Formats: sequence, C-alpha cells, structure tokens
Amino acid sequence: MIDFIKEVVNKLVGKKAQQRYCCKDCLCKLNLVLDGEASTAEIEHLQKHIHECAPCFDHYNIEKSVKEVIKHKLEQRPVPASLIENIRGNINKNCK
Amino acid sequence: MEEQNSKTTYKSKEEKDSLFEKEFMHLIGPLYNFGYRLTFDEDDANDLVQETYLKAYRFFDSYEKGTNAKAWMFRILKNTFINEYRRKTKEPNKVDYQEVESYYNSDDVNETITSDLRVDSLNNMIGDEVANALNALDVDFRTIIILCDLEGFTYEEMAKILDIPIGTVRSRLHRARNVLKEKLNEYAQSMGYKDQRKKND
Repeated sequence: MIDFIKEVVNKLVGKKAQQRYCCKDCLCKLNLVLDGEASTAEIEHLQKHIHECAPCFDHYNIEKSVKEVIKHKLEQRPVPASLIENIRGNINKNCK
Repeated sequence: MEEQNSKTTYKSKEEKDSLFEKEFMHLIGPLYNFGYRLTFDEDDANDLVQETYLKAYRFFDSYEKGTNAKAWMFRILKNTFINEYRRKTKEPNKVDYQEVESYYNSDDVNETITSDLRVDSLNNMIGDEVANALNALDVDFRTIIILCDLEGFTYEEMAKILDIPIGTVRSRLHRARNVLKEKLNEYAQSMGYKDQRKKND
C-alpha cells in the first residue's frame, strides 16, 4: 500500500515538475509577447501552449488585463495652460 | 559632395526655435504626466518639465533629427528628476533596491507570485484605484511600468532612458508587475468585500 502511494505521488510530482518546467518557459515568454518583444516563433509557441494549458491561459489573460488597465484607465492630467509659454519664456531668458 | 549629416542644422535662432518646437512641443502632455507621476506635485511637475525643455534646447545641437525624440526627452526628464528631486522626496536608497534586483536576476526570475487577481475585478476597477496601486510602488518600479505599459517604449528604448542593460529592464519589469498585481489585488479584494456587503444589505 505504501509503495502504491509512493508511486502515485512520484507520478504526480513528476508530471507537475514537467508541467512546471514547460510553464516556466511560457511564463518567461509571456511578457515578451505582451510587450511586443517576442519573435514570431515565440508568439506561435505561446499561443499554442495557452490553448492547451488552463493555468497559463489564465495567467496570460491576467497579465494582458493588467497592461490594459494601466494603458486605458489612468487619467491623464491636463497640461497647465501657462506651461508652454513659461517654457518659451524660460528658454528665451536663459539661452540668448 | 554635400555632407550627409543627421545632426540638426539651422541658420538662425528663429529657425532653431521653430525646429525645436516641431520636434518636442507635442510631447508636453506625456512629459508633464510623467513628471507628475514621479513627483505627485503639480508645481514640481511644472518645474521638472520646464527644466527638461531648457536642457533639451541647450543640447539641441547634439540631438540627431529623426531619432526618437520622445525617448530622448524622457531620458532628460528622468535624469533631471534623479539629480534634483529625488533627494527631496526621500525615496528608498539605491542599495536596498539593487539587492532586490540582483535577487531577481537569479534563476528564480520566472517564479511568479500566484495571486487571486481576476480579470473581471481588473475590468471593474476605476482609474483612481489603478492610480493608487501604481502610486504605491517604489519610484523605480513605478517608472518602468509607466514607460512600458503607459507610454509603450520598447525594452531597448527603456534601457537607454534608464541607463541600464536590457536584462535589468526585463527583471525590473517582472518584479514591478508582481508588486503591482499585489497592490491591485488588495484593491480588488476590498472592492469584493464592499460588493459582498451590498448583497447582504
């Protein structure tokens, strides 16, 4: 019985370790893909992997959403009306 | 044969001013916002942007026309901030940060902090909550997130703006995003509790 449990545990751990290694590679590539820094081969590899691996698919969507909220939800402050004129005045005063 | 030189050339001050405005003035919005997100103060952001434009004008001769004007200006602003404002704001010193960074340059770089952060909680967040999460980051982490995710600079451009190797850009981004996700998750969870309370009412 103990041997059987050991065998099952080893199988599970082995599979998990194998999956972890694969996913580790994907997680490394994931940000490269989202940041537009990956090669075509890397993009294809990741796309294929996330269709087969639910944890990586979820992770991909989270990372993508984090990038999107930063890009689209942060409010841009309006530039003070006087700033451009002050810059011009400052340059004219200091760089004749 | 005419010399092919990409350096900016001009005949008069008027021409120089006109070229300068054309190259750089349209960047004032992103620069002002970058300044504000570094200093959290409108007057400091104002001064920082003015100083940046003044330096850019002084070094305009060394600017190569057609190269990346935005990256060039962001680099000047970042350096001005480090030299003149960082001391005032008493940010954590560089040594502590370097230690963190060297740790993340190790083999563990791909170990990702698993969190309960969900896509729908992110989508439900309002701008203020996202801004608060970003503002809670250390200035170096905040900077790299702004440069990459908000301004869309490439790793190579960020390496030049920040004067660090591309490998460090990648590891710093990785670490910054993990901390950002932790902060966003804190907001998402507090939001969840609020939603739960509403349901129970």
